[in-house]
Amino acid sequence: MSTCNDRRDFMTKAALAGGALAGAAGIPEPAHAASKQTPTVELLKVGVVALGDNSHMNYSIWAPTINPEEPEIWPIRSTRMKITHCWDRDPALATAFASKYKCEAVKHYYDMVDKVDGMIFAGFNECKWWPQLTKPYLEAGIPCYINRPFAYSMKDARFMVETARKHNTPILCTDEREYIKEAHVGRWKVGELLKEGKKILGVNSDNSAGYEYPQHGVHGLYFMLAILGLDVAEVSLQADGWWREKTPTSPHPMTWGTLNLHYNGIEIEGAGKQTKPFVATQQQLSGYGANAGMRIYHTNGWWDIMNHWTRGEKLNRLYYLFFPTIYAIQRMFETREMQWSYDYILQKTRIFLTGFKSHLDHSGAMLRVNDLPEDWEAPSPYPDWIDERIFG
Amino acid sequence: MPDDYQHDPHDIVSSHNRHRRMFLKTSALAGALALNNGLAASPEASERSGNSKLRIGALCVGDFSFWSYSWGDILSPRGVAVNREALGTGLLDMEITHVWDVDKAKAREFADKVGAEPVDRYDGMVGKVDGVAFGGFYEVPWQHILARPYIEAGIPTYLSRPFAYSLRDIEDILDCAAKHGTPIMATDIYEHLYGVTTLKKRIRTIGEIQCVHSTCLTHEYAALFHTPYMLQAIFGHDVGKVAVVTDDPNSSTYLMGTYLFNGDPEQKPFLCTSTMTPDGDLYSMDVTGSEGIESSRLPQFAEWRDDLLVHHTPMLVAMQKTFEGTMYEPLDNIRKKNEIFLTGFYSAVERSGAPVDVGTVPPDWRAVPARPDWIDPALLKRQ
Repeated sequence: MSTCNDRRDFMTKAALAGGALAGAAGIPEPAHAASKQTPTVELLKVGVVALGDNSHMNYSIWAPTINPEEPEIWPIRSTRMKITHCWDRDPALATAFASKYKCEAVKHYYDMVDKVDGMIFAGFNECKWWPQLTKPYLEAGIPCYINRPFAYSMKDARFMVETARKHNTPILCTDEREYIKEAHVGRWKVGELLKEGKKILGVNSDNSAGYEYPQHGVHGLYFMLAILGLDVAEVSLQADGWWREKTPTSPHPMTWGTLNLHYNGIEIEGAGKQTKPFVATQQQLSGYGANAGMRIYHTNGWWDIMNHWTRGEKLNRLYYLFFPTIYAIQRMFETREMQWSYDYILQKTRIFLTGFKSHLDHSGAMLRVNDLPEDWEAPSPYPDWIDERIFG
Repeated sequence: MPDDYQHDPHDIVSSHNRHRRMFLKTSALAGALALNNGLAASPEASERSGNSKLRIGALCVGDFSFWSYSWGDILSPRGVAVNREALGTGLLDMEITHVWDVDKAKAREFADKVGAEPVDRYDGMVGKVDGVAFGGFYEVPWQHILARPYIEAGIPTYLSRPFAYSLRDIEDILDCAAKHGTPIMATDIYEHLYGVTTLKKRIRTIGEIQCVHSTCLTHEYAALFHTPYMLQAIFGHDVGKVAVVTDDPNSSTYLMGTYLFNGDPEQKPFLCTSTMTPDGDLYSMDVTGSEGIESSRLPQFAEWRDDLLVHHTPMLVAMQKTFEGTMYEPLDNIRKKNEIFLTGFYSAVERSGAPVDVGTVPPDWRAVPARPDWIDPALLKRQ
């Protein structure tokens, strides 16, 4: 913090000194300072749902980067979005959030329809109820960011996608490790390897998963999928648990685990195609020295990439790790274009659920992605998080 | 962490007995083991002349054998290449004097190159040699039968990896060695690489181990998936679970193994993965700790001579010491290595790659041989 304060002090003093110097020397003020006019681009009004535990709207992660009401964490307006309304299952929490970020708490989860340009469903604990919570907005055509892991069954996933498709509503389900530059560079590198005629032989990866599969373990899954694509034949989650603590649905806290993806091959349009299968394995860790990393072994050696922890000011972590996702959300709200198609979201969810089923029902054996039953449902670690009476 | 190697041979029986209680519950050989635990050399073991090298019997020298691949080139006394190029000098104190192979023509061919005498039967060297080494892979499913005459005769014996295709078979060998006090050695070539001792030393500075990734230049699980043995040489044999994902353990288009090491009070359990990378380095290994990362790799060799000296000779040095009477490691280590191999095989073919608890593979469950008809059972009748 001292570094942060020192830097702000320096910048403040420097600005004052500069202004004094300019005035004293009779140097004309810059045009923007003289006009005093603020650009009048209309901000996008955003509603947010789920503000408490395990939500990106908590812990000063996403909220201050959209509504810059915590200057010590995020000093400037950086997006075209403004959170105008919020809802949480806990009204007191919603009120506190509204007070902190200068927005309005609504009474019912559906009260933001017609009031906002986009919705951010930011929680994790509420994922089990995303189909109900998102429905009014999907039907109203309001673009929705729906937090990972999107759904606990293909039936739920399909319900949301079909509702969105029917009403021409753009949706986004992603996470920050799908948008960090290492994911983009990794994808580019795979394309280069294919162009050069090299084959991928195997992939090792690490993900700082906090010993949770559905919440932070999914970061690693999305990271691998972003780089290697979706042509996954089989999945296994080999672990001694799937959640970091014991809950009504999680009998054994997770202390170790690997996520294994058996790829049929890989194809990138314009780059090339590999039909040789390979396995990508990812250790799901806690306290690992990086957010995510990957080593790709190919027919001419290997290639590494890693997203290290962002140390120093919190701003660094928010900017380099989380902010690209915020931009992706805004881009969808603004353009109504989906970067990842409905089918991509469905397949991504299917792969996630297949891993879950491998762990729960098959002791970590490899399961075919295409064999996942539509109505198979993964557990939420907090199955009573939402009082379902709110849905009437 | 594993104990240091090179154990007192007199420890082998007590250690073996101590660690095999669980298996003995189902073993019919339990009674037999108690009969004779002495380590005195069998009268059938021949006396070595003070002026000659150790007389070594080479068994299984034909297809897919270390004898015809590298050991012959290292031990070739006259500089005649067995495979590619002999070292051209007597490097070790071992001389190949007798040879047997299931294919008599290949036995003769090998024997001619190294100036040795082929024998007609697999047990035809008893009383003629100071040690025997099984170099082949395809014969391993029958190795417990092939090795028995020599172990019973007190002749130090090297067993080819993966040592046995069932727990029953490995116990049969170990029981026999314990009963007759015969030094046996059963190692994988990668256990002897300098990377093992180097990593063991260097990882002391990286804090608590978080995870390990390794790769191995191979196309299959049973013969050339060396890194799991290397992992055990570095981290010990206290493996709780094994998972092997592959389409075919004997001819893989993809292969990945996961090994859960149980840890200890100062080390949480951690996972090691091994991935097949058929065109890459011989191996690579990255150990990530809480305070740093240590890596090791062995690129493919540019020169055959370097391959022989760096890659293959260290195991022969250990083999020679075994033939001189020094046990390389306790019998229980051999049992554990074989059990971990079999657990992985069991995971692959019986559990679709799911992790399997070490200690739960049925004693009579057999791994699938790469060449199930390699040996005619009629050849195995003892005279």
